[in-house]
Amino acid sequence: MKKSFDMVICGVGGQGIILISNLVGKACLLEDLPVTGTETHGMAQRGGSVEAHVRIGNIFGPQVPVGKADLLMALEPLEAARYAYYLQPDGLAVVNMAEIKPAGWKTSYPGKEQLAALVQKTGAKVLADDFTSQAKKLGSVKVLNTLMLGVAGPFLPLSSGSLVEALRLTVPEKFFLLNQRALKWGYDYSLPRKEEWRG
Amino acid sequence: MKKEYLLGNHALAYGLAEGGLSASFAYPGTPSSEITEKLIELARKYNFYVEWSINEKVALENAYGVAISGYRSCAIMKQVGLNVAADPLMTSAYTGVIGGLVVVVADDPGIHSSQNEQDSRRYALFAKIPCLEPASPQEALEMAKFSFEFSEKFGLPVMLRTVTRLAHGKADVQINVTGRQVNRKSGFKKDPACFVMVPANARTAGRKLNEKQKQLLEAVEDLPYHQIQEGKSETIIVTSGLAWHYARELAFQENSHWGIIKIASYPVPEKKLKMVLADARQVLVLEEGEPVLQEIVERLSRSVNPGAEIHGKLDGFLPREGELSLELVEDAIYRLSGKVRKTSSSPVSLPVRPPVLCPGCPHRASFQILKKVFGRSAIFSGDIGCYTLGINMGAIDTCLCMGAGISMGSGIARREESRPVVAIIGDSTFFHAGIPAVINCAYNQVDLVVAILDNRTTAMTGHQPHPGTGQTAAGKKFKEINLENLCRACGADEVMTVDPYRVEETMAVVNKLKQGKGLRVVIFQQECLLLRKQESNLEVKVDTEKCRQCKLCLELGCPALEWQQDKPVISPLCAGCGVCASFCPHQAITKNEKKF
Repeated sequence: MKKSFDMVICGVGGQGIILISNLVGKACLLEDLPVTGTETHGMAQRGGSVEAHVRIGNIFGPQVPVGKADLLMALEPLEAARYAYYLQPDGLAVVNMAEIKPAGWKTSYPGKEQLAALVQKTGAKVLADDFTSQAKKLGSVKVLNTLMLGVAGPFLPLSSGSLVEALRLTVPEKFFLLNQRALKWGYDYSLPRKEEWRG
Repeated sequence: MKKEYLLGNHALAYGLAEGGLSASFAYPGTPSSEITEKLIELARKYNFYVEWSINEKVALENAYGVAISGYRSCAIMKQVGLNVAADPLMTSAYTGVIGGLVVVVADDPGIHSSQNEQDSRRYALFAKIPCLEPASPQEALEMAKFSFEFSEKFGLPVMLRTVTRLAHGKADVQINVTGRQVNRKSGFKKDPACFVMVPANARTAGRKLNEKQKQLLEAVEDLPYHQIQEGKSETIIVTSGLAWHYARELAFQENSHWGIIKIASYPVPEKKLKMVLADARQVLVLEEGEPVLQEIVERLSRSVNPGAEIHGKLDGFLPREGELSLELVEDAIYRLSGKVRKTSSSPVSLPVRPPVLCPGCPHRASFQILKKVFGRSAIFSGDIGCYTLGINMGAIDTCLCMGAGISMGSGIARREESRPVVAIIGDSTFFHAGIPAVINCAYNQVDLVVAILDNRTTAMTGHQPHPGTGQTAAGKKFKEINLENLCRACGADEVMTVDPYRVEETMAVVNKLKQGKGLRVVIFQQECLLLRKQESNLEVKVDTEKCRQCKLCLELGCPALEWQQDKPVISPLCAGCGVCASFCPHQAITKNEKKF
């Protein structure tokens, strides 16, 4: 039995994290891989810190073990730092650097360098960029989630075809093309990096 | 047959539907709400009835009515909802049922979205009804389907206990999508000796319930959900629910040969469990919630193997509070072998990001108005819903249980005569448990202001309808139950409805109510922003020339209002409610209609 490919997706409530989990889960079904996961519902969805776990090829429980994640997908830099402890040293972090500050005047927001250092400390490779701006350029900040799934795409044990098919099965028809563009943009963005790292 | 990537709650709903469900009743509550949402989707295909009831007691009594009429039914709730439904639960075990009655209860270990982490298995033992606990979404489906049969076999309600991690866990699940006919049975047959719990009948029923316990104990031995392998092991790990997976995953990693036992029911299969306990040197019990299983294992072990070491939550091998995780289980297993595990990387301390009211949430305006009008000395007796997040604005001083805002507030007002007391409750919560509390205030004449924050939905749990919305679970329209009329009928001295977005007008109304006496109700009515179909046509801006850096706008705690280089900045998250503009004392924040 092979170890599962474990991913942790994190961000701020309302960023569309559950959709990413659903897309990966559906793609697994298309490839006949067992899959388990867990996600945050309820109170934290109101702008709180949220996380979802997806374990591709897993037959055990839903939670990714600490320090064993192959992939961390963070839709916000503070949340990337918060959940970095899940990463294993040869894992990969895909991080959106567009900040969302916690509401209210009591909290201060750490510097980007400090947050990036916390992720790098795990030893994992990091792919960080302002993906929010890119999602806006493509047409809507709402496709940040599918765009980032695209960025993670080449590193997943799933074919790009399955991810696109999962997308087609999941999002309403009128939003499919925009989401597909976002997914493709992400894929094209990170594929050269993957080859570079491999070389 | 087909496979889907399903939420535990959705898988459970498929199981209920496949099991011949005839009617389902529930009040929303995290982590249970998605079960009913899926049932609403499946109702037409499988031909059953589904409703959002006004509270869990009403839900269970309805389900019981269906079951004693000979049809299969279920009541679905979160753990604290079972407290509300405890009264019918206890006596339903006495009378028993004809059609299968399944009480689905979702516990919340780790308190992700609750006010406590009580363990519902204790209720099942208390009521002397069987309880099944699934370990995966697939098993939630199978057990839900089976539980009707099990309930009918003993004529007892069956509890199906899940936990957050299972309810909101996901997996590839095999479902049957044939759609089954409702299992029609006998219809209601008059049987007062059985269904009328006067003392003489209740004594007989209580004896019968006790007699059923022996048969139950026999029957659970053969349930297919337990995993109790033959063969002797020195180290036995006894698990219930999800913990089974944690133990298996670690055993796989460590390549170990522990005896891993999975217990799927309460009462537990005592005979089988005793057999494996008899040869064990040490036993680790893994379970979510209270050490219910550990207490049972200790009792059983005393008779067959008094020398065995039993570890778990009772002796601090695992923390008694909070949710299990692979890491905690791993720590406990290390301790079992006398080793101390080197600590793995742990979460670093970073600024927290607590949940907050959404940008544009009408509650924010209501809270700020209440704070301004009633002042710092006021006591805000709160309740349960999105508006509990008013805690971040210093506008919620208490939160205990559904409906307590009003009755607790009235208790406080009874003795804190010099301070203003305001009870704050949401619309759905008001229907759930606020009405008797209001009547009590009127009847016993207390000086209290009740603020109903009416956002026209049950927002926190995912926007379920309620009697005030004029819509049922199935989407059927009806004449909505008017909160204002209801409060008058309950005996309130004054009732006013206001729009919290109209800050000045509302302040004036609330100020007038403050001067009054007796039971005064103010209904802050404005639809939840997440339900609005039209975007606001207001554009909110900051005039940095006029800003005096007083930071009063930050008191609103709006995620769309950031402080950057000594100035407030309106971020793209702004929903255009314009409430911050109304509160700026220097008119530095403006709201204007957008130009197209």
